[in-house]
Amino acid sequence: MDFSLTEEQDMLKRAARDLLSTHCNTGLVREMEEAGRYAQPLWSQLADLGWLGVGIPEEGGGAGGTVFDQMLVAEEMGRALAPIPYASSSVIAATALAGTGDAAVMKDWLTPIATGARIGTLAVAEPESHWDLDTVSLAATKDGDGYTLSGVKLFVLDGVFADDIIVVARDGAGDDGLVLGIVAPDASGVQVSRMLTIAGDGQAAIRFEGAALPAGRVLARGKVVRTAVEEALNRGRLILAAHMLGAADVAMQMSVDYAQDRVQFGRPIGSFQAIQHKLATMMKELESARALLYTAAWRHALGTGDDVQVAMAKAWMNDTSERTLWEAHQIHAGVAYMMEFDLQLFTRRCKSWELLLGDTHDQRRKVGDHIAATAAAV
Amino acid sequence: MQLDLTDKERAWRDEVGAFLRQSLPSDWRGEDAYETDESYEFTRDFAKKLGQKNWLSLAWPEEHRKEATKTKTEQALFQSEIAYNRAPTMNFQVGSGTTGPALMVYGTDEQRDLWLEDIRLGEVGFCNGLTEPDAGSDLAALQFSAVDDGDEIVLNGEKIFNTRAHRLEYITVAARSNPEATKHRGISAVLCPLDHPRVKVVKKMTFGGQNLSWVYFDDARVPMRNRIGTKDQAWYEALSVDVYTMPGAGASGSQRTFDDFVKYCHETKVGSQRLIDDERVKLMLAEFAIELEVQHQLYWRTVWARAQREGGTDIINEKIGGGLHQASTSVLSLWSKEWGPRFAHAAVRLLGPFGQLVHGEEWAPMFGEMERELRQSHGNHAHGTPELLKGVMAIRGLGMPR
Repeated sequence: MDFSLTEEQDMLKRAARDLLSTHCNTGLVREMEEAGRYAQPLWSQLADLGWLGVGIPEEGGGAGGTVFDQMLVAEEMGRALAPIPYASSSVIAATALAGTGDAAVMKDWLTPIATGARIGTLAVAEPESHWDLDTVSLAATKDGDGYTLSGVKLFVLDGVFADDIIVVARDGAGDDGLVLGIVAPDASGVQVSRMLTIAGDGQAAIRFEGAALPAGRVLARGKVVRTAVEEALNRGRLILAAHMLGAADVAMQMSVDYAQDRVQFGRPIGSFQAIQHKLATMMKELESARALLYTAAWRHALGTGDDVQVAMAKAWMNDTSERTLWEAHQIHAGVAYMMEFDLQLFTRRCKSWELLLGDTHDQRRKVGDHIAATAAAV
Repeated sequence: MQLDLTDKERAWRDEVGAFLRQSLPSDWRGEDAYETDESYEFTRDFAKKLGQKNWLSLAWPEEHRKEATKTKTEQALFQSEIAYNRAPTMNFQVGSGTTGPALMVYGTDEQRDLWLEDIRLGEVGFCNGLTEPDAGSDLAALQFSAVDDGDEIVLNGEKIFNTRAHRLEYITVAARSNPEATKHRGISAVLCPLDHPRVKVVKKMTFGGQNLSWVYFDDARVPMRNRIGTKDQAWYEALSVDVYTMPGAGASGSQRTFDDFVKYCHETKVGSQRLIDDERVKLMLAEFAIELEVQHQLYWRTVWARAQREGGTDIINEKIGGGLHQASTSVLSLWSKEWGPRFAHAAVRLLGPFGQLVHGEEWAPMFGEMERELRQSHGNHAHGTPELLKGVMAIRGLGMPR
């Protein structure tokens, strides 16, 4: 076994940390949130460095590499709370497009996303369906060679910034009835509105009211839609988990620093066992999250992983993120309750990442169903 | 990066597992392995079988085991299989993992000739005499005395919490040999036979149903050659030796308990449905399955880190993405101290009134296994309570002020 990063992986991670710590401080995070925008100059910089194409196949304009490399970069983006549509466009939308296996889709739609020239996003969840393809109900009604779309998509990541909306719809029951299309946000019958979230980010609700999906914009139909979208969601889960890992690690470090500096009753509060035990628990849980996530991503990259390992990594990271951020607030107490203190920036974003693409219960259910469906080991 | 086992490693794991399953009775559950004379007879023979296969010395250097040393991963797989199959070990972890290595590093040729071969072959069993009534987590506060007298050492005092001492041949005591020296600097390690006429072994039972003995020494004289290493220096020598030892078993024992419980949930109906089809059971199992996987992953990281260290390579934190603090071993042991009790309590709760039934009762689920686990989980103080570990992690791992 060898748990060390390769030379290339190590360099990528370090370079990402260096660049983000220079060009993405919490001032920028606050500024973008207030303006309701993403950091365009930072995005262009990452595009120029070729990082946005990491993990995207070369035939789709990407740089090759795997989800493991994407995860390393995403962890650093989480540390910096980088206000850019990386998970939504470069990972989730790109993976869905690559998953169609269609050369024309790769060339026409994936390539501009891989280079960062366009922002894509994948619209799956609905008012009564949380990233579960069995219950997706957005209607695709036959219209000539194409379809018209009617229904609502929610929690579309960075949907307010997207140039291309990849939408999962259905024209019939089961996997055979799945349709994957791509629509423009300003097309007739498409209405994109910003959702008001705890993270203050760019999630969108998108209403489709008889919006046209001409044949040229139908990306895939049937079972391949399931494969492509499930893979996109699984990669998205690993990437959001990596964001949480990076952000929660910073929250822990802030707490460590604060506990060493803050003096009460004549002693640094870090000398109190009650505080030490909280910090030790944070460390335990974050180390655990990293071990689980890295292995899940590594296996996923090799194609030897499965949905259950991804669900385990997301579920555990969700839990860890929730507890770590909470305890960070407990250690900081009053000071972190104020908006000018940075911890809340991390807490709010982590809460969204935790709830998106599969909350803890949802991911645990997946693991539990697997245990129930598998013969006992002994 | 390579986070999975190689084919060769899998083959080794399967070889060990197959041997254990074939050598243990098909209904083996591991309880009572030291309790009755009959069960102990079996346990003794089993240790000898492992010794004959040269499997008790996997971590030893070739010079002493007469075969190439197994890799850390292979050692870990062996330990994991032993734990998963609940094979009786006659405390070989102490003989081959503590006393043996101490003799190899700090002992004399005469001592090595006397004891090493018997340890390697599983012929003798050792326990450590460390804890005293007033020296637990603060071991260096120990008062047990060792006084040189001519060619002999005279031992006086009591050692408590000695695992299975009533079944074993030797105890290695940590004794104060220089009362004038500072706390850590006056301690010696001395081997003493447990059938010594001036040594009394009082067998006690734990709440978990295991034996721990109190051993009393009353002017027990042993030859000078029974001291391992330099006089007064045991704290820095025998007691801190960490080479030629196998890694622990990680979460394999916990995994076995979990698997047994899952099997029970598959086979048992309550009302109209199997336990495994109950949503709350599924969610509970999922939670613990995720945490087991966490422990397995942490375990293999610590095994790898140890192999690197022994190979002379320091682990640079950043190399594995910020992971592996100095205290990563503490993280894993904190897991084992907290997971077992939580799982046992949750499982027993799900069993309802059947959860209270003990081994031997006709209606006891899983032959009383979860009830036993519940009791045994109260022994999670061993090698430091969870709170003690958290303090160590915060101070050594995160730099908190004392």
